[in-house]
Amino acid sequence: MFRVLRLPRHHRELVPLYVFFAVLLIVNLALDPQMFTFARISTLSVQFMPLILVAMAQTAVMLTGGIDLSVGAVLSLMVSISAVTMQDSPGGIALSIVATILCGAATGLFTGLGVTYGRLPAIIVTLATSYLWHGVALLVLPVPGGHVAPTFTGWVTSVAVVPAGVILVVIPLLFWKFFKNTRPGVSLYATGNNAHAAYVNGIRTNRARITAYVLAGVFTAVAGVGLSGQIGSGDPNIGSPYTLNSVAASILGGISFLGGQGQMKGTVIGAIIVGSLMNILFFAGISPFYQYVVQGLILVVAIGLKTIAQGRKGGQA
Amino acid sequence: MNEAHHEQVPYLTLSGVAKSFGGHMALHPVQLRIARGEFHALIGENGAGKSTLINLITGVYPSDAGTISVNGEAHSSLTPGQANKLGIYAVHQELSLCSHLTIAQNIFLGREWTGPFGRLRKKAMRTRAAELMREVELGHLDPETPVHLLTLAQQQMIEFIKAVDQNPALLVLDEATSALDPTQVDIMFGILRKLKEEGMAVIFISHRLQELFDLCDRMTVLKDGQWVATDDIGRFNHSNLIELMTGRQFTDLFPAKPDIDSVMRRPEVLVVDGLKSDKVQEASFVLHEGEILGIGGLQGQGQEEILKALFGAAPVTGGKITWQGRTYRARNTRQAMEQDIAYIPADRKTESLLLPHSIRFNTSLVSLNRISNRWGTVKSREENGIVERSMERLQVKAQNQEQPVGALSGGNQQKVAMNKCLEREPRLLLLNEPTRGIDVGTKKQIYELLRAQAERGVSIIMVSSDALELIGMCDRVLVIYEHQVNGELMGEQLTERNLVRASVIKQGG
Repeated sequence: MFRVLRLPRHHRELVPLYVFFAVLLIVNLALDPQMFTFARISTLSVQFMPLILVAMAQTAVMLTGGIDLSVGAVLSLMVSISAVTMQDSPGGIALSIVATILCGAATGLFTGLGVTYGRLPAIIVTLATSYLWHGVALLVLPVPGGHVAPTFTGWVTSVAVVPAGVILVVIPLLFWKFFKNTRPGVSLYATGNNAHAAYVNGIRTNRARITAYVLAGVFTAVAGVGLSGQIGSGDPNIGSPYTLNSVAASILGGISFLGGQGQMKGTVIGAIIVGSLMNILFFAGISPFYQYVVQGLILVVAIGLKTIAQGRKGGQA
Repeated sequence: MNEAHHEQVPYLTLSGVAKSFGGHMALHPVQLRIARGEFHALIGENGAGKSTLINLITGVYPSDAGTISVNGEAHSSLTPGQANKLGIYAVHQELSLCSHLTIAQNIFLGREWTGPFGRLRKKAMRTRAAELMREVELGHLDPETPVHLLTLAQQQMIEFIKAVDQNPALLVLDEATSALDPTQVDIMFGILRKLKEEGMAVIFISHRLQELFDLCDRMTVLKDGQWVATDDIGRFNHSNLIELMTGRQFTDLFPAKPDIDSVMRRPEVLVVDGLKSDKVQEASFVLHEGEILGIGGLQGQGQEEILKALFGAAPVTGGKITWQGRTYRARNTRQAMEQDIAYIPADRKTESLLLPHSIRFNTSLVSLNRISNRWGTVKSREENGIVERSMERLQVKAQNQEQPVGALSGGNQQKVAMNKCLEREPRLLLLNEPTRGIDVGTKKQIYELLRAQAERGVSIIMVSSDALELIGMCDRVLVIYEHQVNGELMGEQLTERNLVRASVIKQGG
């Protein structure tokens, strides 16, 4: 009857999100007719990029049934490391990016080991590490400052046919798409869905969880590199709001708190929705303080609708 | 190695494998040989040791003693990974599927086919999954469907083809047909017989006796964790099987029962007519004042669900219940409690007690209304009285009221769990496995307490997987088979043999 029903299942699940996103785009366009100019797209993509990447990090962890409350602090640390290390030469820029990403992976490994072999709940471990990484960030860069290579800053903030913000998001996204279709990718989903069943089927569930935290660290590091380029310097406190926003974006995108359910493309759209609310309220001339009220209401409604839909299907865990 | 010699070495030989849990011998030393291509039935009452035995073979538990020889190579015990490498696979009663992964993903879980760079060969796996699904007549389903959208029977079939696709040398089927209809069972048996010609052996556990006789070559009977008999299946028939499975040592634990005729003449307090719920197909029965009614049968036939439906802990989908002369339907547990009904669950640790809290806290929790003043604060003198009285009633062994329940022995925990329910003076007591994991001394105290309650006019329904307990304690026993009442035993008829017979053979059909 409806053509839309012929969509592959992985799109069908996201139809409500697509619709909501389209409505938001139209409202945004009505308020801001310039939205689809190169200049605006470049600015917006750079503006949304950190949250999209941090939300992807959060999603990788949530898919295993965990949660990462340290992503914001890790982001602060990554921005600080990037700002302190980046020299203005092609080699210097590359070296700094690689170093930052390795540091990101290391933070993830640390958390992953705590959650698996330390047998501690993710929410506790990552609450603790959020203080830890924030402290380290302050040691690396006590006050906002540092100097990001102007060449890099120029590239990130320039107006281009393919803006830097898009490139920084698309590369990790392509990597995820590849990863999801490998054995470690399936192991990650299986572990989050039913760790016991996964284990019985010979999946190394600890390794799958650690992989998720390491991936989260890497995604956050890429966000940190991009963010430092965007602001041209470092700031050891910049990450704080990203923690809860990344959870909100993941949940809006359809990632289940129970693990094992949801898709990365949903999270990306969820992050853009969270980001564009600010934009819409700005252009509508409404106080930005309302952003939080609106964001909270949307989250409650989104989760409520999902719960009702699942209840009707005879919701099974 | 010549062919004839090959034939003579059995595929699997168990010699003296045994298992105990905390001093209780779940399985005494057992000898068992299974040849290539042999289909072996395993049968016994609840707690006979069937599950323990197959868990040793599949490596879920390590064996305490003896050796497990596979293909002539001896092992002192196996891990699940080793068992798989040796060709031993199992389909367990509790399914091990990831509900939000697709059918294809589940079939290949942990052994995915990969191509260059570790990329999954999704299309190839989907094609193979579809092929396997057609063999069990699930060809109409898309291999990309998440398994939580399938029926229980379909999920069981998926689990089966997943095991079969790994080319097992020995396939262990533990109630793997429990959700299947006869057509599906035929399909499964057809595939098994084909694989038998290729030398695959099977160990089969099923509560449906006829399936065992239809499929298997040999049969082993277990009783009370001990080996009883192994022979060609043709040597067994329904009556000598029941004989072999029963005849356990009867202990002198139980208080005297009243005359059954006088019990049946008492007023009917509970009338259940055509009760239906998620796992109860149709149950009709009456309960008299001060009667102890037992509910038995093999595990997982819907016994517990009858209690839960009566207590408002599971939705009732049909039928009529009359309690103390009035139509009764509990929408939640609180309503049931207000109608003087109490439920004591099987798993006291998760469903009944708050382990880190004190005996005092646990006992008074359900009686807070009675011991609070009008401002809602607890009157501690009355609380003391209640807790002390109840600890005396069942002689709870503890240092004082403040001791955390988690620090007590299993028997004393169960006493606290019963006490807190009795404190509300229920008229109908619903018990689920009241003496599971409890020492003999405490069992005796609990039996005496239950009989004393019945003599005071409290009506009791108890679900138990222990046949002797049902026979020793109950005035009357309903036996459940496949979610329906399959027999009602009382007086002279209430024997272990009749109980086991009604547990494994469908009556009147």
